[in-house]
Amino acid sequence: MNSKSFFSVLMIGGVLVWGLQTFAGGKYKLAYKFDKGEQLRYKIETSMENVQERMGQEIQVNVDGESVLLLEGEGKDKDGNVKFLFSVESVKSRIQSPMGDTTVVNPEELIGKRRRMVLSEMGKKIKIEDVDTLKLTGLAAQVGGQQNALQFPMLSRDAVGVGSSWTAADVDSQVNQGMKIYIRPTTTYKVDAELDTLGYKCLRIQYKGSVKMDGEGQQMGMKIVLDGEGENEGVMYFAPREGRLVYVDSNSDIEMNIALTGQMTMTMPSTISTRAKMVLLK
Amino acid sequence: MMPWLKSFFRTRWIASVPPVIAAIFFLAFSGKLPPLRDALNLIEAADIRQHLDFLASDALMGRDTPSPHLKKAARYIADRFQEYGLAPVQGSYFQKFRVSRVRLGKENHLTVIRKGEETPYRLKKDFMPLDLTGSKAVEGELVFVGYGITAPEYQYDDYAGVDVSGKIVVILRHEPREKDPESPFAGRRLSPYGQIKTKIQNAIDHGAIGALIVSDPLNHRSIRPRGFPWPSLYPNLPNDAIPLTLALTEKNKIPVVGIGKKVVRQLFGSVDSLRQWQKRIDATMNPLSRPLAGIRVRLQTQTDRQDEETQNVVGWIEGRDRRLKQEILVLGAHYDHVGVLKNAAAGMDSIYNGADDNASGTSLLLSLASAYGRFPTKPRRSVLFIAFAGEEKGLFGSRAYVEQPLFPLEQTVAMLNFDMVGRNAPDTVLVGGVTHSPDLIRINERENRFVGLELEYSLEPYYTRSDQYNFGRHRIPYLFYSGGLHEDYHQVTDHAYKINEYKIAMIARLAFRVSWTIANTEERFRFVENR
Repeated sequence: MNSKSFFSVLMIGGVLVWGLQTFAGGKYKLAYKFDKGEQLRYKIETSMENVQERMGQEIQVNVDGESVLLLEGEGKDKDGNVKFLFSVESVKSRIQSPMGDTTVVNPEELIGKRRRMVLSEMGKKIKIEDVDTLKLTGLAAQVGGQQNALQFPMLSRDAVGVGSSWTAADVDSQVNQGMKIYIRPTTTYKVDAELDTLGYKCLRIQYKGSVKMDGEGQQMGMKIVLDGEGENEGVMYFAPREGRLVYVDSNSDIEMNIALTGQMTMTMPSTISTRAKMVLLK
Repeated sequence: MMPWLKSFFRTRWIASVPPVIAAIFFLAFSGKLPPLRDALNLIEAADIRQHLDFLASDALMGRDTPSPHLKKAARYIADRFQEYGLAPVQGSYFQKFRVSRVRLGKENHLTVIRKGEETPYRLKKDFMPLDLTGSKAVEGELVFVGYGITAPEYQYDDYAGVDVSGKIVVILRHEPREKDPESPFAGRRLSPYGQIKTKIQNAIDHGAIGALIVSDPLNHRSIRPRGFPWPSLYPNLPNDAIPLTLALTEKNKIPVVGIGKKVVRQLFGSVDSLRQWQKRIDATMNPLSRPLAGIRVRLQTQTDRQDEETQNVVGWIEGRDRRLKQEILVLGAHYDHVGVLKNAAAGMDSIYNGADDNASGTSLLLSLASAYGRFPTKPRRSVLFIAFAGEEKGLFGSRAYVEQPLFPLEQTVAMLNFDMVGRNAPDTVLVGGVTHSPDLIRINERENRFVGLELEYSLEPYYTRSDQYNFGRHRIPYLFYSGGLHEDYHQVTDHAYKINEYKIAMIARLAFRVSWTIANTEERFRFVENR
C-alpha cells in the first residue's frame, strides 16, 4: 500500500467515522447546530385568523405576514446549548379587522433589532432575551410577533430514520405585555421520507399533536386569564448532517378563552387558526 | 296724543310698519332664527361644568352597572329632567330593566336519534352551550337552514320554503361568500345578519325550538364545538369573569349549542359534505335549506341566573304638531362607566371617574334637555331624552330600550348619540352615520355652518361600539358625535378637570340645531344598509 492509498483510506475512514456519528445504520442522530459566525436567513410566511366573540359581537381579525429573519450563530453556551442572534431584516404585514385594514411595512422600531435565543440541541427554547432595545408601539407592536414566528420542532433523542417516530412534550413560556403565557404542546413526529430539498439531504418529518395554553397577567388594571387548547400538525424538512432546519409548514387551531376581571368583566371565546411556513434561504 | 306723536303717524313710511311687525311676529313664533338663538343661549358651559363635576366625582365611584352609585347618578339626571320641564314617560323618569349573571347548570345534553338509534354526545368535547342559550329541554326534527339569514333587501332568505316551527335548526356561522369582496353581505367584517344573536333571533321568529351552530367549513378550518367558555368547564377561568347579560329576553330563549366535527359527521356524513353544501349556497346565493330526513334531536341546556335591576333615565317633550307629535326623535347618551379598580394598591387612585366616558355626553344631553325644556316654543315632533345605563357592559340600556320601546320604533324618526365629547381638539367633532344616515349627515353639515366646528367623519368603524348601534339595528337613522379616543380612555385618569366644557357646549349647540331641524320638518330620513 503506497502512502497515497494509505492517506485515502485514512480520509475515507475519517469521513466514515464523522458520518457514523450522524448516520448510523440508516439512522441519524438529530441535533440543531449553529456555528459561531454562521449566518442563516429564513423567509417566514404566516397567516392568522382570530375569530373572537366579544359582548355578543363576533369579530374576525386576519393577519398575513411575510418576513425575512437573519440568524447569526454565537456558538454554544457552557451547557452545550446553541446560541444565536436573530433579527427581522424585512417584514410586511397586512391586518384586516372590523376597525379597518392596515398594511405595515418595515417599521423602524423592529427592523434590525436583535434578540438572542438559546436553544437546546433538541429544539427546546431555553431563553430569549433582547440585545437591542425594542420599543414596539402602535402598528409595530402588532407585527412584532413576526420575531416569535421562528419555530424549532423538537427532535428525537434517539437516532432516527425513515419509519421512526417519537413523541415530545414541551413547555414554552412567553412574557408579553404584562402577561405570562405557557404553551404546552405534545407532538408526535414521524420520519416518512429521506429526500433532497433546497440543496440539502433532508429527512421529511410529519408531525401532529395537541397543544394547551394557559396564562395570566395584569393589563390596564384588569386581571386577564387565558385558557385554551387545540391541535397542530405540519411537516418539516431537517438536514441531519448540517443540523439545520430547511423547511417547516405548520397549521394550528386553538380554542382560546380570555377572561377579564376588574375594570371590565368579560369572557371572550376565540378560535385562532394559524398557518406558518418557514423556508431556509440560500 | 302728544303733537310729535301725531306727526310721527302722519309720515308716509308708517305704511310699511305693519308688514315689518308681522315679519317680526312671524320670525318670533315660527321657530326660525331669533327664537332658536334664544334656545341656543340656554346652553351654557358653566352648567355643563356643574353636571360634569358631579357625575365624574369620586362620590359616584365610577358609576358601574348595576350599583347604588349609578342609581345616585340616575336620580341626579331625573331631577334635572324634572327641573327643566321634561315630562316623565308613562309616569316615571326611570325605565327599569334587569341584568343577570348566567352560570351553566348541570343538565346539558345533546342526543341525535337516527332510525331509532340514540347517540349521546359529550359536553365540551362534542357540543358547547352558547351564552345566549335558554334553560330548556326540547326534542324535534332537524332542519338545515344554511346561514340562517333572512335579508329581504338582498332577496336572500334561508327560511324560504322550509317550515321550522317546533323543530331544531342547524345553522352555519357567518355569511355567504365571506371571502368575496363582491358579496352582498359584509364578508369578513360580518353584517348584523352574520352575528349569532341575529341568527338565533331569526330562528326564534320562525318558530324554531332549538339551534345547533356549526363553524362554516368552507372558510374556516377549525370545526370545534365553539360555545361560551363557562368557568365550570374551564377551571382556570375565574368565576367572577362571568359577564352580565341583559335579562329581559330570557323567557324567549331557546337551547343553543355549538357542535363539533363528531356531530357534523353524523348529521352530514362528513365535514367535507357540509362544505359542499355551503359551496353550493355561495355559488348560487340560493338557500339549500331542508329537513335532515330521519334525524331527530333531543337537546337540553340549563342555566342558573342571578338577576339585578338597573335603569335608563327618560324624559320627553311632547311635540306641538297634532300629527307629527306622534313621531319621536331620540337624544341619548350613556351615563354609566366601569366602576372601581379592584385590588388596587393602597393610596393608588382606584376610581374610574369616566369624565369623558361619558359624563361629558350625559352633561351635553342635560344641556339639550335644559334648552328644549326651558325654550317656550316646542318642536313639532316629540323629543325623547334617554340617559342609558349598561353601555359599558354591552350596550344594555339601549338594547333594553329597543326591545321594550316606550314609543313605537316605527314612529322613531332618528337618534342622536353623544359619547366622549369633551376631549381632543377644541374645535373638532367626529361624526358617525355617513354610511347609514346620509340625510342626517346633510342636515348636520348645513347646520354646522352656523356653529363652525371642524367635522371629521372617522367614526364608521365604531358604529357597533356605542348606543346608536341598537337603533341602527332597527333601521333608525342616527348621528353619533364623539371627540374621539385619548390616553385616558378607560383609565382612572379620566378626570373632570381634563374636560373642555366649552367644546361640549359647541357640540351641544350644533346638536340642538340639528335636532331642532329634524323635529320640525315633515321629512322622514333614510336608513341605508351597509353594502
